[in-house]
Amino acid sequence: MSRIILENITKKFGDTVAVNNLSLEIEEGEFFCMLGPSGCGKTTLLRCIAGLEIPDCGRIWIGNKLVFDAAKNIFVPASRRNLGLVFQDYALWPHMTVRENILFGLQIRKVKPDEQKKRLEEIMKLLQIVGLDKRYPNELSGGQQQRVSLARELITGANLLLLDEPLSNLDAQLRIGMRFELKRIHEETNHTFLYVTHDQIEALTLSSKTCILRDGQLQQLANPNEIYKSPQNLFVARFIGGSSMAINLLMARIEGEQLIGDGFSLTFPYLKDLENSREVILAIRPEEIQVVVDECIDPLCLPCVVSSELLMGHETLLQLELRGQKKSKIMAFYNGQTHISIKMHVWARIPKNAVHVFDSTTGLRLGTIREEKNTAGQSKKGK
Amino acid sequence: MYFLNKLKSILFYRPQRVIGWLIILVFGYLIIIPLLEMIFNTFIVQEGDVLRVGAEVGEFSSFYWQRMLASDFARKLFYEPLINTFVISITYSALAMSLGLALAWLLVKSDMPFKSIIGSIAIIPYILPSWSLAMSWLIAFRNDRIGVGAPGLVQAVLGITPPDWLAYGPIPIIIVLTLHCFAFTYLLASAALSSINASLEETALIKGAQDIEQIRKITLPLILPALSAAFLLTFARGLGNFGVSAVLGLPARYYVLSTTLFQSVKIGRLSDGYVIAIFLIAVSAVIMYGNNILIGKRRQFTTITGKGGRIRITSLGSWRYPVAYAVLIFFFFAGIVPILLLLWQSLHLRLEDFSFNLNLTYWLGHIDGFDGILIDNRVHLAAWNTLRLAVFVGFITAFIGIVVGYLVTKERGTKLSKLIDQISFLPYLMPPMAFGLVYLSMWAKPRGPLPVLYGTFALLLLAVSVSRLPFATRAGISTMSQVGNSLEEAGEVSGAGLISRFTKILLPLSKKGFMAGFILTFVSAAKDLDLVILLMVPHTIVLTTLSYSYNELGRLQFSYALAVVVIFISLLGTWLVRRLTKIDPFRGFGGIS
Repeated sequence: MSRIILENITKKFGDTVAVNNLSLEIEEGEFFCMLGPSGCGKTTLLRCIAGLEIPDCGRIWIGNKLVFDAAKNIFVPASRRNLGLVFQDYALWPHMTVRENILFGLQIRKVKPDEQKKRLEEIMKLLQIVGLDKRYPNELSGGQQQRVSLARELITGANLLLLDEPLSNLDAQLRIGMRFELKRIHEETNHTFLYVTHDQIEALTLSSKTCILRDGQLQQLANPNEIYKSPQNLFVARFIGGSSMAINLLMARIEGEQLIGDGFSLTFPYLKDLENSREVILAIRPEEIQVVVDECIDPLCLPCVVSSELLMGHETLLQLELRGQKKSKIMAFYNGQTHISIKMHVWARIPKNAVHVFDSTTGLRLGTIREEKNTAGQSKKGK
Repeated sequence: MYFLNKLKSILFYRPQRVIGWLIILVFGYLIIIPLLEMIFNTFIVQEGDVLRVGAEVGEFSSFYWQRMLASDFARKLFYEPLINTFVISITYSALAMSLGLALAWLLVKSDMPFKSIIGSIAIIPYILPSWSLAMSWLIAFRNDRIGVGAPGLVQAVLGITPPDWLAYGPIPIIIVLTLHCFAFTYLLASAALSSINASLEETALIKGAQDIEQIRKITLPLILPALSAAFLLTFARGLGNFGVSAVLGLPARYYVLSTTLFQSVKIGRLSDGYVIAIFLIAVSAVIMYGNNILIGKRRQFTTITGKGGRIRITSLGSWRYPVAYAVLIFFFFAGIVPILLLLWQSLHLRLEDFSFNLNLTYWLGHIDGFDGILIDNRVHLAAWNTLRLAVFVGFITAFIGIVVGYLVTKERGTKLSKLIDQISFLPYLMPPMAFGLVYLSMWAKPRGPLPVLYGTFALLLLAVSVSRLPFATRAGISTMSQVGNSLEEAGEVSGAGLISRFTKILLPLSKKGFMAGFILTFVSAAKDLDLVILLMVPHTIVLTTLSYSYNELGRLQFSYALAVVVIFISLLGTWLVRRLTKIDPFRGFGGIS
């Protein structure tokens, strides 16, 4: 009953286009993340679904109900869409106790007092806030406020919950704890969660499906694993990563089966199909590069010099320069035993499925290397 | 020896503490002592009352209190004015609050057009001296039966005779006070409305509340503390209003407490005045105490409304422009028309003349033995007095404000800081007329090294300065807390002493705040009537009191011309503050001036 369909939604604020002709389907029971940098239109889209913004054109279905249709002038106001919305600042009413806050929606709907009491007890148990009901919001910690706000949204029985960056006001440790909590609550309630965030790790860890937005347009819609493994364009590749480090980008040119860049070349048979001399960008995640201290003659190894190192606890972040080519810098992690020092000679082994190739002008993905069986890579210097 | 060392260390390391205690002593002497003395005086037989009381001068007696509260005169002298005062104060505060709230809602939370124009003209009635607004009310609505006996604009031009109750008495007093003061409630209400984060209201909508329910259950409760504070402040200030009640009430023999007080003092019954003054101060004090409790509660609210920022705007739909035009027209009549009326009347020989035959007699000519205001020596004296009063008061209070602001922020959390803060706020509790009387009685005899100040310009200066302290110190505290501690500490580390830190770092950094404080008290002193009217003598007249005397004499055009001059000064000053410092001069404080 809570499948959401967005059809050609556009929303402008003056001359700024916040959401640009966007279509999307969200399945029932999904933990769906909308991910993107600030200003990408994700919150606007969420507010359109909530009924707090009126799109300029398009249609929105929630469940089987058409709640918005620009052409037919249909607009169901927020108060009748029967959904929950958790704000970034929790929006707890400061003049009401926890109990009054949570019960507000039931009182508006004139639910019987017995039923109210029963549901209050259930929901407080579910969110582990039993005993807080007489407190005022300013007497709660950030995490407790978050739970109360979730309780308030869940108690009405709305099976669609919208969450607008709900964890960004919490400190780092609490945030991780709440991620588990949200996952647990999602599993226990089986509601549809629509979650807006700019934090890629939050999206990857929480969601069953994620869409990535940029300038009001959809970049990629897939499950988190797929987004990480095969980003559809350069923007997604740069935005999504397993670590906090930016992805390595190397300029290259297609010559036959080879990718030739400044100071290196890698060979991939399937590239034959593509036009020669095409300019491409290679994206390689730092966490996928293996740093080898002993001499490596593997054709997928690039000989490098350590130009800088940062100890990050259990591993070391290295900045490498291709030997003989100081312009191309590669970031990689190292967690081996040997002590690494600056100017040391090392080899960066690049697994074949770690290289993402994008067109340098359009930024679009040019196929997937890991699907090829006989992929070979070779460095000039290694020859 | 221990105390000597301690004293040394305080003097050496925390010289600001010494200054702080000195300030408390001086303030205490200037504020608390006179009040106590006045209370004391009401229990002591005064000269001239020996026969009536049947006791010697200086003996203890409850005669004055009995006479005011429990004698045959009590009804006329006290209870009737008391009831009138309360009726006026309650009604006008409620009206001002409703109007202020409505305007605040339109300006903050609706999509009404022309917001910035409306926002700036909305405070014009507040900038105009309240008594001048009362005068222009009479220009429009007086009739030929009471007062000067000349028809006003409505009667002369439209031919409708306004009923007496519309021209004089409680109704026009309430209307004029409302028009003058609602800008204050508007400012408080708009600050409160802007602090409500849109998410609080949107959540209510999502939970299924209709717009009306959302306003009733969320928005109103959230701004209620601010609204009650606004109500109490306007109410308290209403208790002490003199100018408006005098202009619109006295011709119809309609008395409120402050006008009764004024009349008692005028006929030499100072003790009657004292009793009323003490009563007024006590009521104000109780109200302010209540307000502090409310403000304490409001803090609870504001700390958790998150990062603020987004405000929920309600669309007025097709009413956008009609509403904006209605508001503009309203303010044209409340703020611009009064000025034009005063000017227009001052440019005509006869009061019933509203034609376009303009005439500069009252500005530059001679009539009935009086000179036009621009060439009259008395006006020159008054202008000179006004100018030096305003400049000195502005400078003194702005400087004290900065010093107090420094001490309070520097010593924040200590007893000293709280004490200075509270004691400098005390004059705010005193209705101006009561405060004037306190100073009149205090300085009628020599005190310590100081001579009798009554009748001197110094007394005006002292009284007006002390009465403006609350404004100046609040401004100073907010300026100083913006400067921040680290800048000064950096100076301290590099070896600068208190004086050079103050002059080389703090004063330059608080230049804008100082300027704003200066101009604001300058304007407020220049348009003050209620306080100086009791303290002035013929050679210490100022423009406002001269305007009031002409009004009493029935030489209205002179009075109006002078009012126009005072209005010009007020508008110019306010404009300068905005222009030079970009500080909105009216945040935070209310008052009738």
